[in-house]
Amino acid sequence: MIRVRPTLVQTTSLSLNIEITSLLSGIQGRLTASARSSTIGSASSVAKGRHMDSGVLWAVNDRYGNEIHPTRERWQHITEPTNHPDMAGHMAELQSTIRRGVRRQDLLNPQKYQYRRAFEHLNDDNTHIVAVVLFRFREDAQGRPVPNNYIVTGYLKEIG
Amino acid sequence: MTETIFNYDEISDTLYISFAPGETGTGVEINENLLLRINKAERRAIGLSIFNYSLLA
Repeated sequence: MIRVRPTLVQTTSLSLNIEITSLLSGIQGRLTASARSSTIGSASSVAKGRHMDSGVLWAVNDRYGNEIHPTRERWQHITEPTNHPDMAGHMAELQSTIRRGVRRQDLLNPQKYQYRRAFEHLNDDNTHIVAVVLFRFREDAQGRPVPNNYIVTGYLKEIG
Repeated sequence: MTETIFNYDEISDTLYISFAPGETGTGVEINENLLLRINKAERRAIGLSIFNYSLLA
């Protein structure tokens, strides 16, 4: 169960009148059966290797020499109305974030990295784009492991 | 007010909670695993993204 103290929200520059604690405490029970079944379907697609090997939109190297790509499915996922629609129209900035941004390893999942880069022209006072990348491996035609690093989500945020 | 939509994505291990589907806004990182999206002009929350959800729940 996730517990977030409301005081965390109150420390932001905006004193938003929301109660996150009560919201999060009810999440587990409110996840619908349909949402869970769609998750199972996505997992099986990944396990069979179909998902991440097809539909690659582009691939670039980060500043450390790692090749990273998004897939068409991931881009559609990111920009869905219920996810992060703010990212629509920022494909070029997402690519630039991978190429030139600084990265930080996730504290909970060591295979996950966040790439972050500042931009001056983002809407709604956002200042940065963040790309979340999973560093994984897949098998090539000879059955050897090769890097398979892909963007799983991305978002805009304001700093300062 | 529109119905709140919960959408869990296993690939990124993210739970998206949308209070206003399709609306764009400003992202505020509450902590490393919580992104609150807000409409600053109206001082209204439009979404909450919980990263690493399966590890935190």
